[in-house]
Amino acid sequence: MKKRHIVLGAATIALLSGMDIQSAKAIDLQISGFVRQEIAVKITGQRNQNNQAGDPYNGVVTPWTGISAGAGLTGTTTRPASYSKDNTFNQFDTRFELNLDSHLSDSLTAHVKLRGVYNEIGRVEDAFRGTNFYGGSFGYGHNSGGNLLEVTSKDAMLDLPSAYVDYNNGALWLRAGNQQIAWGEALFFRVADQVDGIDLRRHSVLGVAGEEYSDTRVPSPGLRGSYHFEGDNDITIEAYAQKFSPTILPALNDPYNPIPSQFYIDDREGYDKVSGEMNFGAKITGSIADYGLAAFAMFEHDANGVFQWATARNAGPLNGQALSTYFGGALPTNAGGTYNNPAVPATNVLSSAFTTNPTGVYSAQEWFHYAAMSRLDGINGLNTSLNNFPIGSVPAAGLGVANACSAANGGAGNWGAGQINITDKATATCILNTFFFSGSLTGFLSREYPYQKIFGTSINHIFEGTPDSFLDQLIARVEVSYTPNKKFTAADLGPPKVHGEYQIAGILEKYYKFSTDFPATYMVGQYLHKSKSDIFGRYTGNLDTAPGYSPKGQTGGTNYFAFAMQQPSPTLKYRFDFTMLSDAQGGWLFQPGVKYKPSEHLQFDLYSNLVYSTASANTYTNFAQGAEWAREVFVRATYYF
Amino acid sequence: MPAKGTEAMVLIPRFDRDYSRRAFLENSAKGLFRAGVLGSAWAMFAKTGCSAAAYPDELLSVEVYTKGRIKNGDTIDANNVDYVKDLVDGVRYQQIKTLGRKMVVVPTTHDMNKLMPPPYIAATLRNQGQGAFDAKGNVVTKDGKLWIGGNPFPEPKTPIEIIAAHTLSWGRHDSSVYAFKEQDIDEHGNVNYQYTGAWAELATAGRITLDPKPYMHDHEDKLRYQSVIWSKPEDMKGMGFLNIWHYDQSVFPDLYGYLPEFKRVRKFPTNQRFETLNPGSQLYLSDAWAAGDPFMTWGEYKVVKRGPLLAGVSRGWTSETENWAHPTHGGPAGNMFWDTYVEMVPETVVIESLPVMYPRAPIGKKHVWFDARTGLPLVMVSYDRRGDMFRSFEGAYSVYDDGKARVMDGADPYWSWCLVHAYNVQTGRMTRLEQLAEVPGHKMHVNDPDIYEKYLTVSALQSRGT
Repeated sequence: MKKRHIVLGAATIALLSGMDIQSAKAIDLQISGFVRQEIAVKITGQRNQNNQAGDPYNGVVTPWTGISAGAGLTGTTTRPASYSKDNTFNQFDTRFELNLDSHLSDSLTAHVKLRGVYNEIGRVEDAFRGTNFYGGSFGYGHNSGGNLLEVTSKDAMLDLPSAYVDYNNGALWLRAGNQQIAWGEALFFRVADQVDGIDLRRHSVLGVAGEEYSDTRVPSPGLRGSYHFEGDNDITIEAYAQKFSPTILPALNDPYNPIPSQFYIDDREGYDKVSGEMNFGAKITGSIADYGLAAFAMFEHDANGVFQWATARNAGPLNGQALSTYFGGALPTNAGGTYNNPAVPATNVLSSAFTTNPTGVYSAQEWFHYAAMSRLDGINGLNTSLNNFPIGSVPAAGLGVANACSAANGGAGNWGAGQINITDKATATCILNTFFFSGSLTGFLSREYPYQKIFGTSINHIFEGTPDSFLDQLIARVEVSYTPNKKFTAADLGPPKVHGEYQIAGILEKYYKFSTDFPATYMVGQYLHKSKSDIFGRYTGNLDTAPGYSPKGQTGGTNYFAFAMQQPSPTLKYRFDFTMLSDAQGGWLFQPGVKYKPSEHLQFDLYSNLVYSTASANTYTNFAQGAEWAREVFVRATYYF
Repeated sequence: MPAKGTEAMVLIPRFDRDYSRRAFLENSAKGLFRAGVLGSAWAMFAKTGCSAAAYPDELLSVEVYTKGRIKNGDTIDANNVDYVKDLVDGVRYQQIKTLGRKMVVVPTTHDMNKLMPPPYIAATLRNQGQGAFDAKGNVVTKDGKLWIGGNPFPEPKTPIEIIAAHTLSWGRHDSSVYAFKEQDIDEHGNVNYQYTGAWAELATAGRITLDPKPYMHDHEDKLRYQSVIWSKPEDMKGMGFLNIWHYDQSVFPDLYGYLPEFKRVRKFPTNQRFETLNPGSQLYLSDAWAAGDPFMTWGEYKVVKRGPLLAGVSRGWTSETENWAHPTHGGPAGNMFWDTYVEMVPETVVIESLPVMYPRAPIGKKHVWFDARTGLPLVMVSYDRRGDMFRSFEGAYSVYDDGKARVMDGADPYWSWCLVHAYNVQTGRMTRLEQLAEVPGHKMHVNDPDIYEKYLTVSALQSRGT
């Protein structure tokens, strides 16, 4: 093996007679890393509906019912069919990582990791051509969208996910610099692992399950330390102060984009409010008898954030002339009676939560479809947007349209400003389609990162039984956290819902030898209960949705069951993995795979993500619905150096 | 036959070859497993500083044993190994006979201070006669306290006394950090995997050098802390496991692990001790020091053989190579085996044991050759459940003093293991380990009290994780 251990000091290690090895002085720098090609191939005909290319309304002639001068109008509208593009690949990344480790002294070490990713999917697939994969809107400068120590272009990113110095002196350990902090007993379920947000760019959360969030947890500059107290209870106190860094969402029209691309998420304003804030946390761990115990507290800004309607800005605000023109006069009709986005000059700009945009929502049907898929309330979402961000002046635009449509559908027709309260699908459809006559609309959402406190505790225990029995060496872990007054995105995208939320995870882990010829099989079963949100953090009141109706909500919280097993080959050259996640609501994720490491330098991973829903397609009741497009096979070929 | 009155003088043994064999059998029959044919080796050593007087010449010289066919300085290879077939285990015999392995014979070491750390010997002599077993089977002093240091049974009467004494103090030091390099070689001679890292051990009972002694305060229910932390290759950097051994040898150690994927330390089950820790490796956790498990989790201990053995107990370290690296030879690509120096160990006790608390272990039984003088394991050969020869674990030890330079451990030259061969007989794959001065991120340490916080706590695992 080629040596890359660079000795910089006078390290003639103990080759002199009588010299104590421990007195030798050396500063060394080690360089290591890898180059990897990552490719994911879609194995379903479904497309990611959150993207323009996967919108099921592309090219679909959709009935249109609006209103003009108090008279109902009908016709059709069609989202451009040319937007539809299929894709074979979901991922096509070339990545490298370079690690530099230095032993500065007996108590001081430094570690820096440089990560570079070149995303080629936009060159391989027309469906993603032109997508700005990494240049997000957090405004760190340098066209950067991720963490503080990264530079990006549209399809490449270079960052320092680790850049820290470790100081060890007896029982004291300090780590200063850019770092990830991972806490908790549970794997994948983030009960205690809530210190850092996650970076959903690259491969979202669909990488190798056994690697958990090691590549996605968002690093941030901070100081972390622990002190170990000698004694029977083996107590360690750990604390951190870390700069707030938000969860990073994939770009619109990224293969793994989870946000409908008819919406624009304005990350920047909310982020700017808290970008200088620090998060704090502390944890105490110890043991009593054979039980491992921990208690923790975190004081932080919610990295995932909450979303609300926001005032639209940038190019293409709502076309006021179109609204006032049509409302007071005749509606231009295209040939064939279709009202298909007439090109009306934007001469009368109106403030609202929407802008006209050719990649926006084209019809009420599309609006309701996406609202349900996003676990939002399409009707009350419209109410809130109209009340909180009135379109034009009364009664010329928003309110006037609302009253007219309501009256036309047998409802109230005299709402005042801020009082719009549509309750039926027909009225909402009328209002939406009338607006869409102005042009297809993109909704603007703000993202805020509210302050929250999280308190939790955990316990673990290893059972002992007769050799080879199920109980012998079975590890049981329980982890609980409680977040008082946690803020959740409201279904109407209005002010956040505020509730205390608790999470509880139960974990059973077992190594069991099924054969004397093979290493033990690792198995872990996990259960997660969340009292007020689902696994993606969506408020339970927003769940169980259907197009055109308000969410029914899911009472009693959400529950998840996971099972994973790993079976290495006798030489560990192969490892066969299987992971399963279900929500007991008909949502399933399976991830079978194999890791093949033929030599020190090479590794190949072949995995598949199989996302299925067994629930009715008419309602959205489980986590898999709306994500079944993610069925894929992915391969990683890595060369380590 | 040499001419009478010339060099035959040194070749004529004082006792015929069967004398030793008879003596071993008689001693075993009497339940006397202490070293020495002509008397107690320990008593001789205590009296004269040398154990040679306890053995007849044929057990002290390979030249005498082979009637001059092999002499000190000779190389044992496929051409002459049959002369010493009785002096090597079956695995090494096959390696020499068929795979091109060679071993250089050097004179027998009689000074016990060069076969173990002097403080350990001093503690053994100081505490001789104090060792006993409590009702549960753990080693205690006569007045029921935890063991106080050194070998509690230097003149053992049962095989479990030999096993127990060795398990109490693997490396014979109170604390050690071994910077190691591992190379895993397939049957074709390809080095498929290489690893570097540190193996750390700290005694909490029976301490003889580090304060506080003989026990580490607040750890009186423990025997040792032991960790292994890798620094290479890239995908394993920072991965580490911490074993906390209970003093009670019927209890499995507590196991904590830091996996780079999880970025945090988690508790792991610990009964899976017959798994390779890393791809390509032929090492099990159970193999460590040929006694990697609490000794009461194995059972049916019995002595199956006694006799001399060629083994590496000296000359295993050299100052003449960079970073103490060792050269290799043999096998399909000339890299299967460490260059090894062996000497005539006059007496070994081969103990058979069964993995009674591991019903699904791939191993049916194991035989360990212990140097009767020091209680150190020299060779371990394990057999699968069918009874076929399966794997071997063979160590080489030395004082780290080659006459040109030395590494110090307090006032004495450092003594430790130098090399390990771990070989799978059934697949032909080899794992070679060597102790180095340093590897990325780690340096060799001995009797350094600070290693507890640096290597042997959950915080230490976390801090070394990347």
